[in-house]
Amino acid sequence: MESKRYPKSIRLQTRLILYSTLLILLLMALVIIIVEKRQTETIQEEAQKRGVTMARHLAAVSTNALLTYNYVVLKQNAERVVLEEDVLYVIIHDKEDKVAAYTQHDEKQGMILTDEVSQKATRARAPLIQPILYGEKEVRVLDISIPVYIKESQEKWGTIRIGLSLEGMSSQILKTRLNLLVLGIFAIVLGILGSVFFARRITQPISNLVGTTIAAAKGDLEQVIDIHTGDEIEELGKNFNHMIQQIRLHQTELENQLREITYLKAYTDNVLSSMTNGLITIDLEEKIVTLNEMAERILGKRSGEIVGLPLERVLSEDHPLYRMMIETLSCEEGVFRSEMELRKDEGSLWLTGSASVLTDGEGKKIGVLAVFQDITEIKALEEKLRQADRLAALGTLSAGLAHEVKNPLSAIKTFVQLLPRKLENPSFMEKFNTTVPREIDRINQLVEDLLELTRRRTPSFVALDVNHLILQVIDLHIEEMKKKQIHFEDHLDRTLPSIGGDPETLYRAFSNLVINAIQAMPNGGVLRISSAMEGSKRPELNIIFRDAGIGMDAETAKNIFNPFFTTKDRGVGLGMALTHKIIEDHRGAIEVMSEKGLGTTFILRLPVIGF
Amino acid sequence: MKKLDTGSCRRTGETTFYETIIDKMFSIEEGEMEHLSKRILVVDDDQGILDSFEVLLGDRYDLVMTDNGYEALRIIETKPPRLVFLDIKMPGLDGMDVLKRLRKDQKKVEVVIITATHREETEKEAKSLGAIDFLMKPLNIVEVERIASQILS
Repeated sequence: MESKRYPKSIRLQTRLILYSTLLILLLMALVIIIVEKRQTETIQEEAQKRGVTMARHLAAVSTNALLTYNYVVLKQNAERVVLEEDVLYVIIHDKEDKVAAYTQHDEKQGMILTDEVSQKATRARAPLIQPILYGEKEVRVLDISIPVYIKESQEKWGTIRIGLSLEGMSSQILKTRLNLLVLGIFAIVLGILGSVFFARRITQPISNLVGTTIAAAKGDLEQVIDIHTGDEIEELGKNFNHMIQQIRLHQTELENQLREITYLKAYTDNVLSSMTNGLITIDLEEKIVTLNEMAERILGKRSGEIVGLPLERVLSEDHPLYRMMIETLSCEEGVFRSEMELRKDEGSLWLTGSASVLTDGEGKKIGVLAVFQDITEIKALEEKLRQADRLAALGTLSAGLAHEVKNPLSAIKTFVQLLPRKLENPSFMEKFNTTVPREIDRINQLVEDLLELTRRRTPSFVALDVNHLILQVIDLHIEEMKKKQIHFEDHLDRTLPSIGGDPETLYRAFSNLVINAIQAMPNGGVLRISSAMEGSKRPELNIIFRDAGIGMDAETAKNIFNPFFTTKDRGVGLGMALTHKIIEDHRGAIEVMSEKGLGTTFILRLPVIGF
Repeated sequence: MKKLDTGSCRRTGETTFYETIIDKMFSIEEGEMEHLSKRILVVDDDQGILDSFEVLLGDRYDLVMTDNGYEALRIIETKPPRLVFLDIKMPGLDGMDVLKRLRKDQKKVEVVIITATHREETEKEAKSLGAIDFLMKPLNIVEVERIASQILS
């Protein structure tokens, strides 16, 4: 990626070598050029000086010969000078510019030279140096001319010319250049080697540093940089080591935190999946965030398929869970549903559940959480229990009915079977006349009671005095009570107002309670009946029947109002069930408190209804 | 409601002091063995049933009746009958309790169970405790007379 985006990087070492080499090259070139120029100039100056000196010397020795036009001496002087190194020719002009002597060109003696160089030389009043190309080979030559004057006179008596070859000087310059070149190459090679060496020295620790950072970048944090260069690179290395150590610490810390988070997540996942309740959470956009295994099972959806989807797409709009969660989201308060029905093809599924608002650490609403439980089996069990209770009640009713009916039937049957045989027996007939109608009445009463118990009728209420009804009942049973040594304690409040009620049925209810008390006290005792008003806003009449009889155990007391409920030794028939129904028909309540051996108390509460 | 009729038969359901004295006089006066041969005890808390037995057997046998189990055991102890017609469901000591007590005391008396509700396990238990028969209400007078004559003949 990096190499595609940027030009290929050049290593620092290469770059250093390159730059220092270039610098050396430049410096050397500059030095060579300057030195070469100076050398050349010096050599040229030396040559000129030598030429001029020779020309002046020749002029000095040739002055007399010029004054006298002694061409022989002049020629001899010229021949001597021309023998000097690098002197190619010597020409001496007389006062009239004629050639007095010309080495190797004797034929020119007495002639005036017309070439431009000769003209310039003979006309010059001061020394003149002219670079020219001489002869057929066109050799580079300095033509040095010196005018000859006599002392204290301005008159020119002749011109001395020396042709000095520059070839020797050129070879010397070439030699110097060669020397410089060799020296330069040597210096450059040395410079490059030096720069390589120093570049390496500088870049080696950086390379180490780079290698270490690459390894660290790839995740190997066990790297330690060991650089002792005593410079910024060492400082960099130390800082890098410190940084790596910090990263390692942070990494360890992060790893620990990650481990803890992973553990917590696994723990939470386990809790969620182990829950026997279904759990769904949604966010504020109504998208499903969490769904545990039980929820998957109850809803028949896979978590992986529906997490992230809007709740509406997963559950239909009339789905009770959907309604519960959306209601919680909009109302921002928890919702509880004791029963929710999910209709499915294979039958209804019953759920109980609640939804509450999910908040973050700062109490900000972030979604809704619903927890629910499949109570289909519980409901089925409850139904079975109800069924069993109904059957048990029916069983009790049947057994009680059989007992209550078969006894009088048995008596009637016996009397009827004996009738033909004892028709003439007056005492039998007398017994017949009392027993058979009585037993028939018993069966009739039983049927009446049963009908009364199951009848749904609106009682016709009139204003009545409860105390009066109770005293009527006591009057009817007072003889029997006396016989059984049962004492009646009257705690009736005579200031009671009239209440609305059905006198006929209430009379029966009170009568049943008195009979029950008498039966509970076979060895005598006290029957205490009290009445009183209670409550001011919703006044009600409290009537309490308390006997000091044999009492009942808790099981008997609990079932005392069930029709025909019987204990091991006692059947209570329909009396108490009927009493219960009569009190309920009067929108009242009846409860019983009893303790075995201590007696029983019935408490009646009748609402006071004005007329 | 469940009141005993004094009738022509001796009332022993709720024994008073005088009645106990009379009972004792009877037993002394008539002799134990003589009455043993004809005495039948009927135990039932229903007055109609007691009246039935009275008109059915009262003129031929020495009929003693009571409406509870305690009294029944007392009578069997003091004036042993040869036959007992015993109801099961009674207040206080019920028929099965009486039967168990008799078995425990190894009393030589024949017991016939009379009941309104039939339960097989009750019948089995009663027979295992030595009851010779198990009669269902409404009673069949022919059967009652047959048992009485068989036992007391």
